[in-house]
Amino acid sequence: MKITANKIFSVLCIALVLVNVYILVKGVALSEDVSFYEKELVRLKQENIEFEQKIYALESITKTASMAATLDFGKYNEPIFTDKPQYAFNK
Amino acid sequence: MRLLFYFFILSLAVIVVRLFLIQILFASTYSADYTTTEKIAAERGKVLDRHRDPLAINQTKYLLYAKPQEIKNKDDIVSKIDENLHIGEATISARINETKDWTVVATNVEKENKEKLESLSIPGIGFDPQRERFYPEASLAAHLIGFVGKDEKGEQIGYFGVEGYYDRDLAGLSGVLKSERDLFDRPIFSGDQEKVAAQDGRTVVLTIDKAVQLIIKKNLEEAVEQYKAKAGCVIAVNPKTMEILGLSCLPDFDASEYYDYSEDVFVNWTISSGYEPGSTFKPMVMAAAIEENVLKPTDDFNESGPVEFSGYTIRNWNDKYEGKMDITRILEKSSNVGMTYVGSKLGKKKLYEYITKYGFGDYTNIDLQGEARGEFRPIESWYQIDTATHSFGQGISVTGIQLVRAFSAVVNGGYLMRPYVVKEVIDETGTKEREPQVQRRVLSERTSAIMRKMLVSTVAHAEAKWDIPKGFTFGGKTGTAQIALGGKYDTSKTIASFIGFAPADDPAFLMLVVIREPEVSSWGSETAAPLFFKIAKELLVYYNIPPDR
Repeated sequence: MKITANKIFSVLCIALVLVNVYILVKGVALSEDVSFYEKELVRLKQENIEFEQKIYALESITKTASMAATLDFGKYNEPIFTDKPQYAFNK
Repeated sequence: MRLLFYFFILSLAVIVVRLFLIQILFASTYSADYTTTEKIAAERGKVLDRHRDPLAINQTKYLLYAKPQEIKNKDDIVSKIDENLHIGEATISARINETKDWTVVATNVEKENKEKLESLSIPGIGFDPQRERFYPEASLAAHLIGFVGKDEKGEQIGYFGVEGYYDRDLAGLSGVLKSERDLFDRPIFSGDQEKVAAQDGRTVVLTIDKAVQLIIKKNLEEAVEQYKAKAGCVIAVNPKTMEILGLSCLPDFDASEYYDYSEDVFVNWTISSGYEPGSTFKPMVMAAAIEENVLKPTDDFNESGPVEFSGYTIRNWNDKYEGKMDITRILEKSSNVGMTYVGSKLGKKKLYEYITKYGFGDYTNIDLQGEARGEFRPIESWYQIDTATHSFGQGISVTGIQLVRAFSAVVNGGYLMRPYVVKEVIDETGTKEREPQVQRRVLSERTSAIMRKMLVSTVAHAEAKWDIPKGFTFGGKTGTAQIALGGKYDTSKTIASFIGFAPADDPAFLMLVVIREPEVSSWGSETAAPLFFKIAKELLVYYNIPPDR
């Protein structure tokens, strides 16, 4: 079978077109991935800040003190050893 | 086949010509289309207390914008926005200015409201995230932390306190992302990407403890209400290092909603305003006289009555005079006549020298924004009477932090230390710790020990009887200063104060309590001192300090 130069050139051209199309499609897909992860990063960062804010709002001593006052805690737990130092000295 | 060949050649030629036009001849026009430049905002650093509990962190709120050209039914949209944000239909309508392409409708929109509005799918409106400050402890340490507001360009900037002083450290540096994007704003994979990463702000760890802050603030609030005072401040420090353990002033503000308060509330007057210290100044003058060996605590003094000094009559606060007494008694009964004697023994020049050495009239260099120097005239402009009045704390204006620093030097062995609020700065390279800094030595260890004893005696033999925690030795001094208005003292308006420390031999804390214009009683011994002992009692328990006698 005789393969002519023209046939080789045609096959090469078609192969080149296919490779180019493949690279283009891959490039678009990768760009979409980059775009997706960019958005995902922003979302996760945002979520992190919101959780952090919720946790710290719950840990707030001001809020705890206010709740304790509402529930009447802390009214009867005045430390005794400042008035009766013998307790501190364990006597 | 030949046709296909020519077709390829022609296509290639078209592409080459087109690329030449785009990349060479009209490069600048086309590059603007596909190169986007984005600012990468730096995350503002956190402010933590000494146990690394947060005092200031970040939160996201949203900016609601409108594109008036895309809005068809304005009234309907205005009504829908107002149903969620409650800022008034007239305000919203005015903000949606039809002559503009883009306009801000509201800022600081909460996430819940944003989601509600988004679910309505209103055309022509959108949201941009905004990073805002969140203060989990609300106003607990407002005057220490300050707040984050906007500058004239609308950029975030810290004001007052730590937010103001450490603004550059906290703010960080913004970054830039330049990238080539396609029609759908996706990055072009084979295109140029240029990224200068943002440098997030540093986190600062404060010397204060939020539990100590709460103890101070809770008691201060009760006292201001009880004594019907105009304002009040408490500063607690470790006198050996001058690290601030707690600082609270009333009235204060919620830093998250700073815009709802008047500007005068933001000022931390323990560092930004001067006042006449009155009798709380006496221990510094007494210590100077002992250091200079012009007096000993056991020396005799005859308090026979008011004294004349360059045409003025100097009297005691209660106009009572005890006759013969020792020097320690001068402090115990807070004798102005006695302090005039101490001042005269010390002499004008030495008195001036020591007041300067204690740092009055100069910045303490505390790391908080807006520090004032107080008012202390140079010796050349002193009147003759000044040697007498300065000896008992009149005619001089000091800031609370100056007084605390000088008093700490009196009890800590004589070292004048730089007060500080930030103990650690954390960034990606690690943690930088701040060491206590001695500014100079003012007194010897011997004088300091004598003064501690004299101040313990002052508390023990004070005329007022306080609820002092049993088993603990306290040292301290009361002060009541009248407020000068238009060159005269207004007897009805006073600044009542008490400065003290415990345990006396090895102080764990030193605290200044200042009550401004109390109506119930004008005396420091009846307002500031009881508050001092109330707070001290709780601090002794919190720090687990055992009784010392």
